[in-house]
Amino acid sequence: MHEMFLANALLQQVLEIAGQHDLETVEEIEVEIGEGQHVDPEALAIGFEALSQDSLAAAAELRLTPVSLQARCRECETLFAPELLSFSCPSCRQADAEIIAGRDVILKSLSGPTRDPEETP
Amino acid sequence: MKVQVVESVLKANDAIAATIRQQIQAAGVLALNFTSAPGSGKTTLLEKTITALGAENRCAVLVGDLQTTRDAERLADAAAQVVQINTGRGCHLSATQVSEGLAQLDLTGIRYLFIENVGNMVCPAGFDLGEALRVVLLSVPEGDDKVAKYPTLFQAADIILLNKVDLLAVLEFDRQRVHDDLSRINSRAELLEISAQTGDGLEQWLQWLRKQASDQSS
Repeated sequence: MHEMFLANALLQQVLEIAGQHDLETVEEIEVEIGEGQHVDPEALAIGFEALSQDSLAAAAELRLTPVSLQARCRECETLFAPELLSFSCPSCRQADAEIIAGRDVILKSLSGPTRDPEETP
Repeated sequence: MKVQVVESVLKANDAIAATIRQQIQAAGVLALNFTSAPGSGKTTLLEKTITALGAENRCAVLVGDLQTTRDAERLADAAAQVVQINTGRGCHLSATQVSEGLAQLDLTGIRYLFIENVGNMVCPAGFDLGEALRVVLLSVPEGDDKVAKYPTLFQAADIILLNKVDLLAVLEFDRQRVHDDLSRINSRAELLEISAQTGDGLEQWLQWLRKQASDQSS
């Protein structure tokens, strides 16, 4: 399922970054869910919880924030918030829009305690 | 410690897609990602397209399905090379899968790479596969309200093909509604009415394809 694919991609990304910053565990993860991805936040959270067992992120609090679509009209450069039934530019009425926000699921930040250097083998 | 990241979860997919895009363009190949609901006629369209393009335009195909090699078998006669990707439970192709499929192809002398995505009007919209162009198929039996129901997919299309127009005589289908919905969701993409089965409209589709290929070369 789509949410499992995204949950797995998120976990891999979190673990890689946690490793780069030498985090002992991951306590909080902030994620923005763009409405253009059509993701069910609850399903994503359940998938992430299942996949992250036995990892550094097993006890992490996952904070999911929805983000609306933002578009730029390719004809006249107007920025606007398309409603899902319409990508028409409010200025020139053309529906030739480039999505500039709300298309992706974005890992915004993660936090956790760093390893105690004296404990590092 | 708080680490600010602000990166797409699909960053890895997008990076692979960018590499694929470079690789395909460097080989002088035009790659198209075909998406639609299951049963819209993608495979039939590809069979007819490849045959009509002729021996001088060698085509390679990557076909994505959860299960079976049926589509690849159907295309094996027409296409120069076909690779079937079985996603198992995956509801869309990913850039990783396309990359693995490409590793099984030799792009020398290939003009077109057709990527037939998993039949699904939701998930494929969110995944860059490294294609140059996105084709969305819609077919008459599905009904005339699909553009409005699946706007994200149609919004990203470079061309939309309304297939199975030979059935307009026997099914209720409001073509104007499709035009109206597209005018609000994607006024850039061309809309062509075709029947892959009868060949109606096929020549206009081929002209569009040839033009895209020649635009890419120049």
